[in-house]
Amino acid sequence: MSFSLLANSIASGLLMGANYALFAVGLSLVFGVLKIINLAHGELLLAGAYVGYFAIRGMGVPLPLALLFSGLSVGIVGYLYYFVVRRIRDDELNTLILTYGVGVILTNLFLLLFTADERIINIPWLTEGVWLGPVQVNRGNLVSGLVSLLIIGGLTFFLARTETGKMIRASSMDREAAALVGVDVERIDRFAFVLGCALAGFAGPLFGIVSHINPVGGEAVTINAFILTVLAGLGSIPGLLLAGIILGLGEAIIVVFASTMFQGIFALALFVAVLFLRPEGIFGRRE
Amino acid sequence: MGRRRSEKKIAGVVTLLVLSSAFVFRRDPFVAHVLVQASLLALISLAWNILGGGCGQISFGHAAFFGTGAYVSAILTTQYHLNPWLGIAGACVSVVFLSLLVGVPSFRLKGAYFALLILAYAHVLKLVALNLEITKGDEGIFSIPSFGRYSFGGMEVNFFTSKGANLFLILLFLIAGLWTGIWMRGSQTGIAMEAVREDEVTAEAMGIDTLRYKLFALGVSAFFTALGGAFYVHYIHFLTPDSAYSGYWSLMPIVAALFGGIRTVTGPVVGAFTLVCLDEFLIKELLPRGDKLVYGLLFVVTILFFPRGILGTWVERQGHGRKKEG
Repeated sequence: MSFSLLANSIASGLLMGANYALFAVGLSLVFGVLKIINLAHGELLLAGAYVGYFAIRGMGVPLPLALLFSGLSVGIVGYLYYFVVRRIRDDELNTLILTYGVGVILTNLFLLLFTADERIINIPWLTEGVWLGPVQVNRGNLVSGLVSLLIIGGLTFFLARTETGKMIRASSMDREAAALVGVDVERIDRFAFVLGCALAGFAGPLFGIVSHINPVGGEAVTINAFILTVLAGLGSIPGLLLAGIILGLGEAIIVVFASTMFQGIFALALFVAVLFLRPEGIFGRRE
Repeated sequence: MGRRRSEKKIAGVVTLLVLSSAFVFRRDPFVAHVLVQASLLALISLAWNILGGGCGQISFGHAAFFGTGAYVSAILTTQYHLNPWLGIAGACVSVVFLSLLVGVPSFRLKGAYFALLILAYAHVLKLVALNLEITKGDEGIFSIPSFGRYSFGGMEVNFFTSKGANLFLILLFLIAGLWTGIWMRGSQTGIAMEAVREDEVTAEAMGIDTLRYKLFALGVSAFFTALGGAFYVHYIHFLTPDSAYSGYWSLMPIVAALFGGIRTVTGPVVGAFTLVCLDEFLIKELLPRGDKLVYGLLFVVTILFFPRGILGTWVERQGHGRKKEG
């Protein structure tokens, strides 16, 4: 084994980690604020990926515009979805089951509309390699990793500094207390839910660049997003980045030494380890 | 008390109905095959519901138990040349052990960790089955033996050729599962499980060892699911990672249980028979592609508008009627 191979895979693992954080941020936000695990998160992300695929491949829309367009369209779907969820959200179990059902509907819609073919968003200038000092990485991974850092940073700033952001944090810490001091918690819930869905849609085209768009692949995205959310600690957005890097780096190193089977096992092992050792997450507080 | 008695009555009627339909159609291979599929789904759905409806722990990955049960029995009978009955026993034991690996890390915590962890297990186990040598990778395992040939007095039972014989066997498993469920619900254990479902914190405060009851419900559920998986593999005779860990075995038991009524023991059985018959005789005719979309929609409509399911709504109406009379 050469040193450069290992260095390259560490670099791409780091970038993949940043991407994983972006693919998880919508689920984490919704879970943090509404305490709802949106099991259709992965399918919403795929919906964004399909929108981006057809915008870029079919209509030649430039990537930044395609990202906004995907985010917007999935955000609109999320708005409708929120009104369905709100009907029964007092019943935690039924809400969980409902979000799973929405995921099933989306998966089968993808199968009907787009067939079972795997697709990849292929933008020529993004497929080349770039040298970062001594290591070579894929430009698509690099761009999407940087966008991910930007989004995580922007969201962290938004939650920490803006009025709405502060209301979201207050509502996620203690809903009743927030309502008592005049926060319109209903509006905050709706806002956070739609934002979470829109972020999934926004991440979709980037997912289609660094990975394959498979109509039944949504579940795997949701599982990874949930693992990162737990690992980071409930509602910790910056924590997602570290959690994503742990997963991305671990997987990249394992692929060098072992097979893809162990890559899958690593995510599961990480999940079990977190549940045993630190269920409140790296940045979470013990209740 | 009234509800429990009416549950027993319903379970009795359902037992008689499925047995008599099996008796009528035992020589018709097509109908018998449809009834086998329905009974198999009914068994898995019933098992899912002992955990989901009975104890409030929702599993989105029962395919993990089904597929592993199927693989264990397939490997034991083809590579170690064990008798299929021993294969089934081996499958049940190993899947109950597997269920502990899911339950112990996630059940210590409150919340939906179990639901997500079992989903992750279903994914990883399929990946493992695709990559291992003992499972023959994506080629799958072929020529898995049937339950064999027996003669009792003058009557011959051949599990290899007769769909009817297999139908009676899966019905035997189903009825065993059904009455186990009825017995559990009436027992102390069932009441404790119900308490865990309704309010885990209060249940714990009342001195109920919630971890123990959740694990027990999971173990029973995994046992009957493995029984179904192992039966399936000796009925179909071949197995691939896609068929063993198919999303069908995670999704359809939930749809059937919801549709029938998750607060009842017999509901999933009624739901499974209704769905499989609808599927075979109606939906597949009308919609050759994307029939799963119908189930997704049915799933969401049920949970939104009648979360008690058909049997649950019916039992409740009965209960109200009686109260008014009295």
